[in-house]
Amino acid sequence: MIRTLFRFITPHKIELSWATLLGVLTVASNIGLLATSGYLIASAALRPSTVLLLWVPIVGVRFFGIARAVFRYGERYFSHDLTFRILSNIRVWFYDRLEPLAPARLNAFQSGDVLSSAVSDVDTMQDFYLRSVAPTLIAVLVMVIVYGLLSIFDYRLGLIQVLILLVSGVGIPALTYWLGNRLGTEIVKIRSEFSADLVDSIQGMSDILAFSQEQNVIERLSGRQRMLVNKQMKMASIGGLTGGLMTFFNHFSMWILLLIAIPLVQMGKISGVDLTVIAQTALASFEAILPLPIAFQYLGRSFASMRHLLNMIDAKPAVTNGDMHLGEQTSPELVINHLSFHYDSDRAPVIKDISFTVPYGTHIAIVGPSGAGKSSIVQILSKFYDYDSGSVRLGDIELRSLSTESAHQQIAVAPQSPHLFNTSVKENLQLANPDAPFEEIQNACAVALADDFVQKLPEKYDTFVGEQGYKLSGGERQRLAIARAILANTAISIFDEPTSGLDALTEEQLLHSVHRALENKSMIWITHRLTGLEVMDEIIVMNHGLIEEKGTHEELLQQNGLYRQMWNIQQQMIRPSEIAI
Amino acid sequence: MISKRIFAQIREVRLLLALTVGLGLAGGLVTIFEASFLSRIVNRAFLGHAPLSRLIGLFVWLLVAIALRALVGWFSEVFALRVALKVKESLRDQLIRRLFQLGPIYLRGERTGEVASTVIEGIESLEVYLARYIPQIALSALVPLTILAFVIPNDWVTAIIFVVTWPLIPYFMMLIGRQAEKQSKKQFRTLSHLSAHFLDVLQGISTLKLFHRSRYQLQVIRRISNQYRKTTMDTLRVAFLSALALELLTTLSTAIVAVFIGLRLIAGTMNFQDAFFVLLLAPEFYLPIRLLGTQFHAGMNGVMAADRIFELLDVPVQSIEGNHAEREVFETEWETIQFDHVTYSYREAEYPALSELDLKIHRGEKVALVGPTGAGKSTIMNLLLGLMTATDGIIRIDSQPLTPSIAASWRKQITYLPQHPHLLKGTIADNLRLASPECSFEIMIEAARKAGAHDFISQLPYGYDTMVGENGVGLSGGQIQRIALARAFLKDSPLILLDEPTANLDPESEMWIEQALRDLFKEKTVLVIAHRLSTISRMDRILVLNEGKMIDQGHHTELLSRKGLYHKMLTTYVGERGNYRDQNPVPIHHPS
Repeated sequence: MIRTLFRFITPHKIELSWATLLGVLTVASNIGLLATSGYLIASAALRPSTVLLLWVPIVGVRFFGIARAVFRYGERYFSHDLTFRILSNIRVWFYDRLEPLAPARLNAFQSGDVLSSAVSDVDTMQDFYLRSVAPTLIAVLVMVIVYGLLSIFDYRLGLIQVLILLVSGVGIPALTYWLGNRLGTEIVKIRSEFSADLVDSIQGMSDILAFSQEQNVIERLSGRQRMLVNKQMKMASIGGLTGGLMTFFNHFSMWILLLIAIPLVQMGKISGVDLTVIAQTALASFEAILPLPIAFQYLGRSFASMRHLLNMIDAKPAVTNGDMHLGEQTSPELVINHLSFHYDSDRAPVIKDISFTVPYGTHIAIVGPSGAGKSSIVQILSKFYDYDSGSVRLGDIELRSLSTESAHQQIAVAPQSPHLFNTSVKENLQLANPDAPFEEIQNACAVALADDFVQKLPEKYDTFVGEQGYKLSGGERQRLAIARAILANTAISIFDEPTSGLDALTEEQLLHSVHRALENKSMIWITHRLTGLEVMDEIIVMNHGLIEEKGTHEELLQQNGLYRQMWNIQQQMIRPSEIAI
Repeated sequence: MISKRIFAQIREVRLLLALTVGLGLAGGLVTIFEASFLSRIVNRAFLGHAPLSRLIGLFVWLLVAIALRALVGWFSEVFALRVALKVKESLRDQLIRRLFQLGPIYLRGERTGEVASTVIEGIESLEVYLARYIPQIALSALVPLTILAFVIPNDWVTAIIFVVTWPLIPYFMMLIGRQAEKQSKKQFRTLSHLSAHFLDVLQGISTLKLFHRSRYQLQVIRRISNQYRKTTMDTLRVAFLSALALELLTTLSTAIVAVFIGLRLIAGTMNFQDAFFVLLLAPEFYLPIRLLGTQFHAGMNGVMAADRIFELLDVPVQSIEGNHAEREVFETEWETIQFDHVTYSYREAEYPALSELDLKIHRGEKVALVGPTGAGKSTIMNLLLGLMTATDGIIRIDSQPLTPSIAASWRKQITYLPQHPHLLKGTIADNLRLASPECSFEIMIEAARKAGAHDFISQLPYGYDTMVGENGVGLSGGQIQRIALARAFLKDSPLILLDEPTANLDPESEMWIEQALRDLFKEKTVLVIAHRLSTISRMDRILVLNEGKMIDQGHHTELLSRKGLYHKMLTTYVGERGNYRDQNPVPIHHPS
């Protein structure tokens, strides 16, 4: 795992060296500034015959004073640049690994915000260099410099200072970790429980108020918070201790070096002037290890984030990418034979032994209550999942051995909840056909009854749709997805519940419009609403993963089965919300 | 950069805050003593050639000063964090209470996420502001003054350098701080823009795959990252200059102090001990204000978070006394509910959602509301639930006006079944007991039976103890509806408000719900937003609403014969199929 983390940094050795070097020089300049200023005043106290003898320390003091600021500037510049580069590397790496797994393997992560937490994991890992690697490297290099500097006077001074630096730099963070680790884990847990409870209570507020439970909920939330605050109070003591210990060892090192150095002055081994230099060096050198406790915290976080990401991408792709191509064939027949499928081997099958054929040029509908297995057929035909048994043949080639690219050139899908990218309407549509002329795009939109509303947008086809297309209504998003599928101009088009955001009248118009436009092609229309299905060549009625009935609208109404039941329920519904008055 | 409102909050913990600042000041004093002992030791060893044995006493004092400094640092940190924790806790409690006063109408839709993040992260981001920034403001004035008081008698030249340079730092900080703030905001925006783009691509990965464009995105991600890096670095190159200036100011001040002291030492106008003492204090003099500079961001973020928090606390609530003055005015004996010229307008809306509604509902009456979207049906429900208060006009229960102060007690009379009931995180039993916290297991099962929920609950892995809600077991829409119905049976209140589900439920759920509602409505007063002919036909009265006004009312056949909006609504959809003419609509074919 550490190797993976470093892999994002190593391509940028030059930037890394610059950033680290400048970081070391920044700390070293401060040591230089304080040591030379000590040297300056101590030498001055000896009242040399001429000021010229102090020229070197005076210049030195000014030099270090300016150099520190300049080095700091350079360090910040290079390390920020490096952080951006690393971030880009991590993103590319993660996308590269995730892409073959999507979407089948991602569905294993049930909760909807897995992806956004992955994004913030990536963001956390960008700090790996800036907050963990750099401070550690700088601390080590500064220790070498400090040793060298103090050894000019006596190697023991250097040894002791480095020893204290090491003990403080490693020991104090270790102690904090040992004292606070369990508490920290508890705090994270309580906080996430608190926030889950809060979000749940806000979402369920109507129900809470309706059952007069508001006082209980407020008290429960307060109780959780009090628990959190109590733990945080304890954590505060540990945090304060870290700072206190750092301060203590910082000054204690100066104390002990003086204790050793003063007898050396007595013995004439070093000059009295050096005492100020030694004391100042001891005080200034701690700047290098002050960021270490935080560096270790960030290290922990980076590891945790890395583990999350590795967990996500640790899977085999759900589909085998075949190597067969359909080539020039433009009128493939789709034959499904004894197809069975389940998402997880420990879960019940969602499709059980179904068979049907879509001869080229026919339009069929698949209907049934939710959970019937309709959408799972789409998942298989999209080549998002492999099937367990039975066969799916497209133009006489088994779907499994067909290349993904070739399959997608034959089948276009308008999914149930389509994703629109945060870019213009036009670019969202061009995804299906990058080279399509504008007339063709507009034409596809006209078929999907989308052209009218797009024309009313502030910048028409150049309007940005916002994150997840939030500037558009659900029905508008669905119509754009339909237009996108039509624009792809494939032999087979699949529309998965494309009208759930639309009213009954628009739905019927839309179905007829698409039906006309795709007259010479195959179409599969999946819906739970039985509107306008009279035009379909065949309707397949599914329930609990099985095909219950097949036939045309008229035939099915005669049969008095599930289709008839669903039809009856629908007749019961008045849909005042959908009436244009 | 100080939020006045936050200070009002701090008043409660001002003793702790004073202690924090006091400890910081004590830390400053200990620093001065440490410098004093240290300069004496070095002076005696260096110029006085004193052996170590004669310095032991001073060494002990020095160690004491060091230990004290560390202790003071520890405690001031702990106290500072305590101040922050206490203020945070109190603010968060206030916020949570306020949310429940504002109610679901205010919080609906996208606001949920934003409000939750204010209550959690927003308040959390106050910690640095309260624990570091605010005490640091006091310390960055007090500590330098103390040091100055000790430096002036020793060395007035350095004191002048201090006095001249010190105000330059906050001046520079403010001058460039604004610019730096703008830059760092820009950088933050860039970073969040990049993250948003990345998230957009991840979320759209299956769409990209469908059109075999997913591999191509690798190049796009790399290209966009690089573009952003280049433009950001261009702005940062300039932005970092301000930090450079600030850094220069403090390091050069120290350098100048050293040079001036050195020159006076040579001239013999100053002794070494004083000189070293002053030199040791020079960095300490600038330290607090530099620390304040590093907390600048935290300060800005804190003020921004505080603004958002107080904005939420300031949202007007029609009546707050409702919570303490909870009067039990409603026995189950009320006879009528009367809407008297009731108007409701949403704040931003052009037209009222409901205008001048007059309506009287008698106990035991069953009333349906029908009309297109935006007709005002949900507004009537929310007003009657006391979740909103009429902008104009009055609702009376018998003669008692329904005011916010009695809303909580009035709600005990009501069972409300929304279109999409929310199951709280917890077990199914927890969710059922919401309606009747002390009910026995048998009564609970009985209610579930009536709602047609018992069978499927029993088949779940842990039965009634199965976890639902987020991360819980997935239930279908129809099953959630049935659990909500069971809750309604448990509550057994005289008034039922129902927003009929429009979602297409499976035939089995349809059948159960149909039957359960029939049961539930017995001997109750019922107000339904109806979507089914079968429901409407059982009602005593149907109110037809359009654009916030009641345009017609009467019985099903009566309304149809008038050929008004009601007739139009029914014929537009099912007209050609002729079913609407049936007095008793087609019965649902029950699956065997």
